Amino acid sequence: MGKVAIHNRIRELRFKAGEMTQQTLADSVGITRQTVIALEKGKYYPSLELAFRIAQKFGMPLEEVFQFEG
Amino acid sequence: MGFQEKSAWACLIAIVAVYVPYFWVVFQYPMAFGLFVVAAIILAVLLTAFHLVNALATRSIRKTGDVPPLDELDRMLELRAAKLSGVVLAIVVMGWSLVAMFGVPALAISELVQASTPDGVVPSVQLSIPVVQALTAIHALFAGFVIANIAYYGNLIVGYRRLAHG
Repeated sequence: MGKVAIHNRIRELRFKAGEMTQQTLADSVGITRQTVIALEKGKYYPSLELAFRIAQKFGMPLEEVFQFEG
Repeated sequence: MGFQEKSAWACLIAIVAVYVPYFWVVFQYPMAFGLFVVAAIILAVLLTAFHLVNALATRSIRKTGDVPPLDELDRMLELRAAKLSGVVLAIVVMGWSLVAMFGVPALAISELVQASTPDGVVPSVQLSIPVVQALTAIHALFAGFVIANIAYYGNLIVGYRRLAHG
């Protein structure tokens, strides 16, 4: 199996949501700002639960926020 | 740098600052085992001081008064660090046990050979391990535990640096 890549639009969606800060997003989904930074850089893939919480925060379905490229 | 990463740095620095001088002394003077208590007290004081400074320097704690809880990334990094630390500790304990298992009988045989007469008669001898050697071995085992802790916090810091800061 090749290397899996999961891309996300968190940074873009934060700016579209009234320039929401990383800290605001982190606080609203119960993670630290460092985790938001790691997610945006694609250095960490979230758990399914966290992915759903982030998508819910932006009011979008999961696949609109996270894209799987196997 | 987040609260958890700063805490890891604080623990690593405190452990190194306390236990490097500690082992430097006890391996030269193995009977100075009383230093263990002194080192533990200094470590506790240093960690309390670091934690207070860390709490004061963290904006979210100043705002809410609560320590930020671990999130899933923190827990993943902790698990990775604990795995490495466990491996280090296992290697140290296994190595120490092997040395003890083979070293002690070898020491006994060496004492018997030295005590035997030229015609091969082995007299009754009292086998013993010198206190200084036994204490050095105990210090070495404890050093392994400290090294495992250093590996834990070191791995945690490397994880934060790599994942959160690129």
